[in-house]
Amino acid sequence: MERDRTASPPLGPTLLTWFLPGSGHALLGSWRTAAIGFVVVEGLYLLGFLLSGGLAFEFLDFELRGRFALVLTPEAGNVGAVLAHLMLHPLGGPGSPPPPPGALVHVGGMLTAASGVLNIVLMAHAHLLARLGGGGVRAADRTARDLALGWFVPGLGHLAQGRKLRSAISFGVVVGLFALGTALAGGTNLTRDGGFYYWSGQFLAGLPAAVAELAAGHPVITGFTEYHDAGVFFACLAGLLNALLLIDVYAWDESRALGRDPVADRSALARARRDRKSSKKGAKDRPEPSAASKHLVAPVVPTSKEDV
Amino acid sequence: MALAVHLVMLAVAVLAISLVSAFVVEADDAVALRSLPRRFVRFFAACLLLLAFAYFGPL
Repeated sequence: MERDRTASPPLGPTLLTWFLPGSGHALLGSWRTAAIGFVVVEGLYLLGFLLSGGLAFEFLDFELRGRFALVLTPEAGNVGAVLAHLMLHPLGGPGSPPPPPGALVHVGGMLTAASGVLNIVLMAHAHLLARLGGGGVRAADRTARDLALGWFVPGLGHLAQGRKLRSAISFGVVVGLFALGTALAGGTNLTRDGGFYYWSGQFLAGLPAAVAELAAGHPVITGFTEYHDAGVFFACLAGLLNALLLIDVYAWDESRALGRDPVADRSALARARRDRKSSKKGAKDRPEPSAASKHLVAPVVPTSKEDV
Repeated sequence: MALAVHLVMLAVAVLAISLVSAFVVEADDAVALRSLPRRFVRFFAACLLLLAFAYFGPL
């Protein structure tokens, strides 16, 4: 039986994938994607763990090592692997030695971080597949591809969707901010021990950040420039804004997958939000907007067969 | 001089955030870009108000 696409999306496969890559797809009967997703995502994490000797999180300052300290890292996208990581190699206490110098621990940390981001892409794939049913494989594949491209190179996801102007602007904004931040910080942002959480944000800028870090050779920090704080802020902002741009990429593909016009769909969503705001400000006896308007796709009821 | 540099940096950050937020809210490029000046002015003014309060305020 065809699933009602306007209903609230099922969360089970998405959450399962968060804890164990591929398990959501296995639940949906998509065994091939489950196997590939598991091998790629967990393989990346395992390789990164082995290369870094499990020390990638040791760059975190001691005073910040709380129970949820790793929630703001890219690795949190693959939460099951992070939990296994912490069981095998718990965070050291005060007095534990810092990670040894050398590229391997940094490269390993980049691989574990990449595993987290790619698992988020896999979660988006599982989510759309669960929402669309068996007929939505191509749409889910296209969405996952665009998201991965948009993370690798900012704007490339938009380009794959045929949105050339937005792609060029997105690339310019993200890469420009990252370059500005790197210049202001004098390159001290190009290593995870230059600011653990700032690096986490910056990593979301994708390949430009990774390539710059590898090219700089993970510099040892001997001092800070006058505008170091502003530098790490701008580099981090670049990655965070790329994450928002990926939401735009996802929403466009989701609208298309649901057979809707992405532009009209987003406008309807904006209207729904405005209505919700005005209804809160106005009389309390007005009816509440539907719960569906909380989602990225506007609560438009299909009116023709093409919409279904 | 330092104040001017900080204001320019704030303006750059606000412009980038305003642009991306316009892209997230509006899927149409023309509509998003048209809304950019309004978004920028509102956000920048709000940031300046907050800074003024933090600097001159009672805390």
